[in-house]
Amino acid sequence: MNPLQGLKLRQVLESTPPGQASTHAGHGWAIPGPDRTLIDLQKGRIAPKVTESLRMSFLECNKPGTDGYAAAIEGFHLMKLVAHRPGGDTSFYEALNGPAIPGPVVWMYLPLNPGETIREISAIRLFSHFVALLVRMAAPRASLVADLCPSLISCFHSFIRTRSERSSSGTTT
Amino acid sequence: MAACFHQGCYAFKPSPLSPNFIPATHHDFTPSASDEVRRRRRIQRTLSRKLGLGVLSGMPEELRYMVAEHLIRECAIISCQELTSQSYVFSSEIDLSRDVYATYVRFEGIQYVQSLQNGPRPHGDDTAGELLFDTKQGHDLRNIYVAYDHLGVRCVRMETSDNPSPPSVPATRGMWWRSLSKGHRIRSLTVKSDVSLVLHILVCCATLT
Repeated sequence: MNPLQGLKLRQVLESTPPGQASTHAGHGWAIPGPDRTLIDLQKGRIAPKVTESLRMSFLECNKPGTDGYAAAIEGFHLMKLVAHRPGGDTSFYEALNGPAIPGPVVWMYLPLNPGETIREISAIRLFSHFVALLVRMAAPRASLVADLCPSLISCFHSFIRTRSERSSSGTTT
Repeated sequence: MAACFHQGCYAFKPSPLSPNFIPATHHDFTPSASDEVRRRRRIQRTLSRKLGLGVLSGMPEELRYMVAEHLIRECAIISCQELTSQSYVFSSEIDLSRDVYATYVRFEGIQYVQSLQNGPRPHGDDTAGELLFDTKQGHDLRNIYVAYDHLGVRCVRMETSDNPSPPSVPATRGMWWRSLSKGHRIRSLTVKSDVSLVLHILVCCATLT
């Protein structure tokens, strides 16, 4: 039993027998729960074992009172998708301003009509690269979340669909 | 790996930095800008309140708050230096067939787990620690959830057979939860401290260069 020094703990891991690879720390989630399945938007399939520890935040889909969604885009990266509610917390705007973000952040606002909900979210891939999210509301309305010109987007050739439910789904922060 | 300081902060340091200072303040990842704003406000509020107990007791609160704004960095350095000047030693392996206790430390107003142990702290210490897992209850351990931020582990929660669901806690900004179980029974834990993790990073950097 090796003694440690320090002010506080940094990691708690499952012990592994000598000679075995150390346990991966696992991904971080906003609330406690078992690990969920990660979808690799670039590859369009369930992500294989990821050695990097991602930190996942929630998109509260279709929660009553939601009047829109906002997407933060930096360069060609979709950084965050958040729900808007009247009087709700808007500190996420501040969270994406600072030295940790290399470039300017563009916010896209996706307003909802009263009672309208998201029915489907699709990932659009162009030449095998993830380029945008397509957020479908009640037909015939849909919003494209990306920093690309419409003519380029019209060339897209691959959808990855995730049927929405009245539950939360994850996006990386 | 080099530790970088603001010139003004380094010039102010009241004494040689304690060996635990840099490991305790190391960021595992970059916190959001709003986390840093909240940290400044937390230190400013605390310092303002403490100034009211001392030399500025006759000064109105709003003025003390303004004075505190100019002393945030100095307050952060001194309180961290005081906290890290003592040496804390604890075990790195936790046997889950025995009771598990947690002790805590407050760092810049936030509670972090200081140690996990298989027994209460000896008498005479400040606290015996919180009993996280009581083997006398006879419940099976199903899963372990670990909450952390960029400075360390904030809390650990056990999921047992008498309460087989994740702990119900609201999301807290800047804090994330890890689940340790991958569908099998966990028998023991390995913990890493500020010092052991920063040393590990240093060794990795040295190997790469």
